[in-house]
Amino acid sequence: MVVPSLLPGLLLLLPPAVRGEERDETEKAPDAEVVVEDRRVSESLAQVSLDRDALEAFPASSADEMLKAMPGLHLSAHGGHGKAYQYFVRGFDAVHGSDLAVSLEGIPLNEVSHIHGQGYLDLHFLPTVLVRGLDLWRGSSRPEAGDFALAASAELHLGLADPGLLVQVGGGTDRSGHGLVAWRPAGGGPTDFAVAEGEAGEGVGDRRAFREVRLAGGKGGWLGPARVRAFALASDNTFESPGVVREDDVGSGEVDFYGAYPEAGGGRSSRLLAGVEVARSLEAGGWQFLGWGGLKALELRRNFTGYAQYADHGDGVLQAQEGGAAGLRLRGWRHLEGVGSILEGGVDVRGDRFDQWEQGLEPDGTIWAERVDARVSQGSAGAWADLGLDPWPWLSVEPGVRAEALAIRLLRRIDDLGTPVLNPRPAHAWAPVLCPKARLSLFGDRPWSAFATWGRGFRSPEARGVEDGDRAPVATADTAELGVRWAAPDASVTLVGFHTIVSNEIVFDHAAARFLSSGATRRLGGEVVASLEPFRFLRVETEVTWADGRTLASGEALPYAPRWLASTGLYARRAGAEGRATCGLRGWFLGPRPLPEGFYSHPAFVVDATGHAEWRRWVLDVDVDNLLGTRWRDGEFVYPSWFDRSRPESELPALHVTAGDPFAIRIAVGRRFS
Amino acid sequence: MSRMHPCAWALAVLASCSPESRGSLQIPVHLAGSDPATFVGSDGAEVRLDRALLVLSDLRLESPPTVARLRLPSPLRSAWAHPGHDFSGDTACELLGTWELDLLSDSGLDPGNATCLEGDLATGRVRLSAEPALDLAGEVTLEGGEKRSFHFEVFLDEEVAGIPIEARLDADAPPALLDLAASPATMLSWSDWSTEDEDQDGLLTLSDGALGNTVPFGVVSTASFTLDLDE
Repeated sequence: MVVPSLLPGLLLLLPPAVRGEERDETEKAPDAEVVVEDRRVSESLAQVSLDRDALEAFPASSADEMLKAMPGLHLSAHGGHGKAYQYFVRGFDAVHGSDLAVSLEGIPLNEVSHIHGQGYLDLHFLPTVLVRGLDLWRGSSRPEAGDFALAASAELHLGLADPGLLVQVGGGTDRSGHGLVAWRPAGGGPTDFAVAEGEAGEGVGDRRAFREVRLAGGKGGWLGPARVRAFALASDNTFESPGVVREDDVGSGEVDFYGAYPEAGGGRSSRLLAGVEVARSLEAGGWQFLGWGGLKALELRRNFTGYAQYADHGDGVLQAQEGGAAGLRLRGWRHLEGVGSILEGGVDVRGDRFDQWEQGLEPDGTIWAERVDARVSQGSAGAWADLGLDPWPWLSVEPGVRAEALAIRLLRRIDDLGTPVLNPRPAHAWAPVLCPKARLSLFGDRPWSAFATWGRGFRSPEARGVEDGDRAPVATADTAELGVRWAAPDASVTLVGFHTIVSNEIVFDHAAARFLSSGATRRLGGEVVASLEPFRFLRVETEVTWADGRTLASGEALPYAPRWLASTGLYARRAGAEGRATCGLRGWFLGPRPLPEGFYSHPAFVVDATGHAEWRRWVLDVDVDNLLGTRWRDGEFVYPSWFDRSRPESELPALHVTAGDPFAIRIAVGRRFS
Repeated sequence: MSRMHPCAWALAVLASCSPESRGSLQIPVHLAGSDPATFVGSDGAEVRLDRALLVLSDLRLESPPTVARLRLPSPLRSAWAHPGHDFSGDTACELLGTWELDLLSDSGLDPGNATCLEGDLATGRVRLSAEPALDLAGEVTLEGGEKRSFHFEVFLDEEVAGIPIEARLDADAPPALLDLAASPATMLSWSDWSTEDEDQDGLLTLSDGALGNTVPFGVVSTASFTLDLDE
């Protein structure tokens, strides 16, 4: 616990900051850099961009956790170390990604019609060392953001920042071990890399063991005048999941706060993803082509309710999905001379095909019921355009539009009763979506500026919900934002208000294990983001978000999404001729969340820290979870359950919790070789 | 006095805005029969009960259905997910256990405290699942003066659901008592006392005529039970 608190002080001992050290110069080598740089006319001031330096200083133990840099976003890891996180954004319970679109270099990572939840978003396959940049957008005003961009969207950039061979090993008080080999050839750019990473641990508490292996390779270069890059990532994760424990059982001492019931689950996830990108810059514009494909397999076992639903067999469930997806993206942009504007547009095509199963699972692992056995083929084709107009220096207007066509083919091999279907016939459905967008900014070149955005985002329908010939129901969200910003060279303050109407909310019902339609909902909120750089090596960021989500029909609060989120981070960086160091200390506050049945979750205040130091060839990484050792609840759910069959079955809704990460410190030491 | 750090102050303000969770409360439960040992039915027959034992278990009270329950027909019929993101159960008040209640007892039975959650109540339910759930014996005097003995042993495994109770529970002002009363008169109100003694055993039993249907029907009838909260 002492190490991170000393890091800021140690930073001051380093030589004065010298920007543009060796690493940056290499990145800028013209023959190595193949990342298509920013072409956008204007960005919403609600955007957050983090480069590698900022990411190194941001406490995050996985690529998923880096998304917490988005103001108004919170994530919960109630499923263990290997399953997708649960996301909360601006009053949305985005569950496992249903309202948050995330892409990697343009490759959409949300999985459509996933067995475990629409838009399933799992970033565990991505080594954090390869996340070279992260762009986060709140709202749905980006025309290029497609499916699932209802509440927010994010783009991860792939690349290895540092040249040479890095070999690193480490371990932590959370009974974990970590090994990393990362290589970027001398003279190569960030897109040239080979990475092998392994991680395993028992975790603090019961049923939290995991094992992860990640491999990645990438190569960039030139093909005539066009820049080309190709990359591939593969991962295999096996993990236990503590699930939940009843709060009253914790209170009575029957189960430890960091304990788990014997029925707790786990799973295994494997993924292969590859992409090829070709891009060319022209005199007045440019174009980019991206082709990608991937395979994914997931198996999840869980039991959140004990024996409440099936007293004889238990409520254990096995969910599995196997399949692949492929797609392409074509985009272009062109400056329109004389008009002071730029036109940008693109086409996205995606196809998914997968099999999925859900089965009832006895405590001993025996399968006793078949509930889902289906093959899904799902495709989408979208086109978008974005016109940036700057009629006066103080005014920027950016209308845009995205049109999307969705097609679904569903083959059910068993019916709703679990009976095999003889001669199953596929059901086909389709849906069109039109999403207008607009952004406007005033006085963008002055200390005081203002902006307004409006955009419609959409969520594709679940394949298993369609009938043959359906025009499938598509959920849309219209979001309006209004913001002002004051910016000085070393400080800025942004205030944003937002209002979102969702056409048709879907909410999970665990008893039926399916989504329920809950009609239209709205979110109303605001956020304040302040940044201050009192010294060149130190940045302080504070953000506060308030979001209130309610159903339009009844006015009742939407469950689970937090109303208050606040964080303060201190991020420091010093660099010199022989080394550099970054560190970050971030405290965040999670306000009480409305839960079903009139309950509210417990608030939490947690401080995480990270530090990264390099001295000559030596590398030291320190990550601290929960520096203050706060006993906090990561997941809180209210429903009836029955785990202890020696007692009568209660039907009263009870609070169930998943313990948040306790204090843990992980240290990794590495050495670079030329 | 040390100055409060601005961040701590801000968090304290945010925490003070925290809404409170729905409170819980304990309410003593009282079970009793609601009729005297001798009563006159709607058909004019005078019934005298010599024995009236009812075995009850698991008393539950439920909140009224609300829009937030959102159990609407969905076009998204088959989207699946894991538990935890769900609607919780309707039950708002619960006392678990099994109790043998002498419906003729003056004092009734005090089985313990029900654990309840604040909010509106609409209905209650109780399970009848012993062997037998109801044991009624006595004599009925028909309007013409004819006397007939009866003995009904009702074997059931069924919940009596939908017992009305319109009330609102407030943890700051908990009710003094939750009364569940069972009415043998109502349970027997569907019985035809002129039924022929088919097995010639000298007793009216469930084997005779339609009594095998009407008596169990009366036992599980919602009208045979009343729920009340005493302030």
